[in-house]
Amino acid sequence: MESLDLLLNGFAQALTWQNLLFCIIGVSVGMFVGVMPGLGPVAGTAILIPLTYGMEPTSAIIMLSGIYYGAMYGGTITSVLINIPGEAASVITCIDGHQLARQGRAGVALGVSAIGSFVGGITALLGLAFIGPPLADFALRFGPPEFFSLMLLGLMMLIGLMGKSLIKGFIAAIFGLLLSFVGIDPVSGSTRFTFGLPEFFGGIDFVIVAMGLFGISEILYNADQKHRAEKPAKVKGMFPRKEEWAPTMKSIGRGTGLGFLIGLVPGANAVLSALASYALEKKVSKNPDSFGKGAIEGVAGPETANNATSGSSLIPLFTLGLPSSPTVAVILGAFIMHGLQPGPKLFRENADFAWAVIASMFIGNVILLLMNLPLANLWAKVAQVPYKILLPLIMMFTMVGAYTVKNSVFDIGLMMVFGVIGYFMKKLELPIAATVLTLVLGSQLESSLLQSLAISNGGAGIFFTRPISVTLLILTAVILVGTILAGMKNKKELFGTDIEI
Amino acid sequence: MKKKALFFPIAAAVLAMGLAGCGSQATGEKKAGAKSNYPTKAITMVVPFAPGGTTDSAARALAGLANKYLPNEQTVAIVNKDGGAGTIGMNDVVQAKPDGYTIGMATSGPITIKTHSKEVAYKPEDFKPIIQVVATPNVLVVKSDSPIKTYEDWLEYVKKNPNKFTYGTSGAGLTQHITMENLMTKTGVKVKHVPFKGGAPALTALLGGNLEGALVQTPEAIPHIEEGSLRPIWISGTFKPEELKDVPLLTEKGVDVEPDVWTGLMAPSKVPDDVVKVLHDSFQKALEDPAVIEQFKKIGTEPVYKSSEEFQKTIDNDYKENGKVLEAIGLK
Repeated sequence: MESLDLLLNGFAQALTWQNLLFCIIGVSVGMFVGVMPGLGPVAGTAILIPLTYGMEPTSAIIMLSGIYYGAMYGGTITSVLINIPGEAASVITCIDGHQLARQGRAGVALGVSAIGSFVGGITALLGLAFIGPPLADFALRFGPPEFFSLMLLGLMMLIGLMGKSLIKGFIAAIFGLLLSFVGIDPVSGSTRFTFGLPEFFGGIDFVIVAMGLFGISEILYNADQKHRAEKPAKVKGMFPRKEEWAPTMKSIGRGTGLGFLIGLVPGANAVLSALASYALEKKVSKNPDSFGKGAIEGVAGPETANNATSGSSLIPLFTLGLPSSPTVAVILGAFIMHGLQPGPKLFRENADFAWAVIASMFIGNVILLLMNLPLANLWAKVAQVPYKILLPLIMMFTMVGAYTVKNSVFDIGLMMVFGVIGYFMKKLELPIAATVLTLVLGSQLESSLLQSLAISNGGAGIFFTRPISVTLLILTAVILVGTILAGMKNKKELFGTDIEI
Repeated sequence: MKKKALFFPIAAAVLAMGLAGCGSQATGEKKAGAKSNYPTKAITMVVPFAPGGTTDSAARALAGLANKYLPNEQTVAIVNKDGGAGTIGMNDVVQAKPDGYTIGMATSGPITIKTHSKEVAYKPEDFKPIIQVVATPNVLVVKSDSPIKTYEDWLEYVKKNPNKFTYGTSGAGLTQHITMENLMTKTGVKVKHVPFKGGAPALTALLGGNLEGALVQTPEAIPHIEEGSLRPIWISGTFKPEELKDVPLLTEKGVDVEPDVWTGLMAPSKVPDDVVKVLHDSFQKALEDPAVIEQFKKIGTEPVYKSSEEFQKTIDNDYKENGKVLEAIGLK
């Protein structure tokens, strides 16, 4: 129970008025960058780092990590209300969250997300506090081959998003994979599919594609059918109906476990865990047809999972000094700038600091829950604003957002192009989420495949001789075969779910 | 209805083109300051990478104190122009008015490596170097339980086992990759390159036992070396950091491979020499300021000064050497 003493000690430090203030500032800024499309947690933390130069290291890290997990809460809001993911991990939430908003249940979607995020975040922190080090050692065994198999499993789960037609789903998914090719070839370093434009060297930014395909296309699509009689229903509170509580809490439980485990894998991100959770929820649901039409489980599971992942991905940072995602890498930079070296030494030499930060994250999660539950109803009112006022505003915010990603006007134009593509994808009923997710996963899939093959001297055996990798591959095969068999038995059951996004 | 459906996509496209047009005009400065009195207004420093990284942090540390040393106490404003592996921002610098009010925080990659690619519109000679401020050598590390302990062990191992030793880097076509390719041509050994996105994932794979070695910038490896989980074998660069005094440089072992990853200030080539001199003198003083040294230390680096002339020589040499290597591996 030594950890418990240390944790209580950490609380004593984190609860000084000064640290509490920085914690509140951090999570509020985090919420804000999460809500703003284009401004992600990476940019939010990076921009604020210079402000922390003069601060106490503990306060500085408390504030910066507040931005990190605060953004996960904020990203949900825009997904639900206006169908534009605030950050990558919230793409999945658009699917059912926005449907709920259209039924006047935006408050419920946001309320459930806040509760799920809280449970997922706190559980991950308990893991970080009590069982972090042994878990981190295990996670190190995830090398390129294991990562490749995990990504393959992730792609498999996309089937759950395919909607009416598997063919259309594949078209959308392959479009995303093709987009992920643009940029610099990860092995030779030569450029490919850049059309001679240096703007494409770094690949096509996910944020730009997501804002175009989801956001701009939504504006075009709505403007196109302007006199839709459908009036948004009244906001009906923020808690699920009585009979919905049990399945919701179960989803939150599953999302926590899944998200926590995925967060430990170096390089795996919250996008993957949200996707995996959505697929799992759809699989175990008694009523898979409701997915895509406003299933609460489709919001609760993924939202919980992405917060659990962002919490548990701090475990490799604190215990091994290894950042598992770009945002965590920025936080690592902040640690070093304040003279603290994350890794095994951190708990030995700066134990006070480490525990104060962990304690502050508990406090920050409570603050976020308290801020979000009452706000859920307030935010939900946004969905009631008439389209002719809301759409130009969204247009403005997305354009500013696209510019802020890299201070580049080119990106605004690129986003517009994707907006037009997204408009036609909606008209043709191609599932946009499949495109956006394969864009994120595609480049990771490719580099881990090529890394594995470089290590094995070109032999594919490396994927089948390593226990973790082969387990993941078998799992992928089982899902694939299971889906095909289920499809043969009842074609309707497989393709009957209509996802309108 | 049909017409309506078409109107909005077209409107969006027109809007996009209009915006793109605005961007190209915005970079030029209106009036050039009188040279004798330079500078009379704030100087813009373009950082071609995202905020928060090492280059950006170093630029901000310098910019924060530059007004103390610049004539007329003018300030330096940072503009981050990320993208294209640093080439987008540097292209902005080339196209800026050569009046000394737009300078760039350049690194070796976008100046001496990417300039060999057809897609990059500028060449190294389109710049006038002002001052080199930072240089970082690269270090080859292995896991501490590896049987390889010295440079000689390593050389013997890779000679005996061609194409077996795998090493991770922060990415293909970057300084570390080119350094190793250069070493391979010069010593005749054969090793296998495994590129990652950044130094940290490469080190993660090494610590997890998936690689035999990694070639990364010294600040990335030093914490793990001090922790005892990694062992340094050799350094490629022009100098050794304090923490790695006992590790041999490749040049000490008779291998002529020594590119540092450098960072320095550059101006468009048509900027007058007296303006460059004002900038050089002011930033040299800023670089010696204890507050800047302290900030640099925090981001794991240290000032490594070179004058405009020495800096120019480094650039010429690196550009030539990198060109040879890129040609040999078919990237040119």
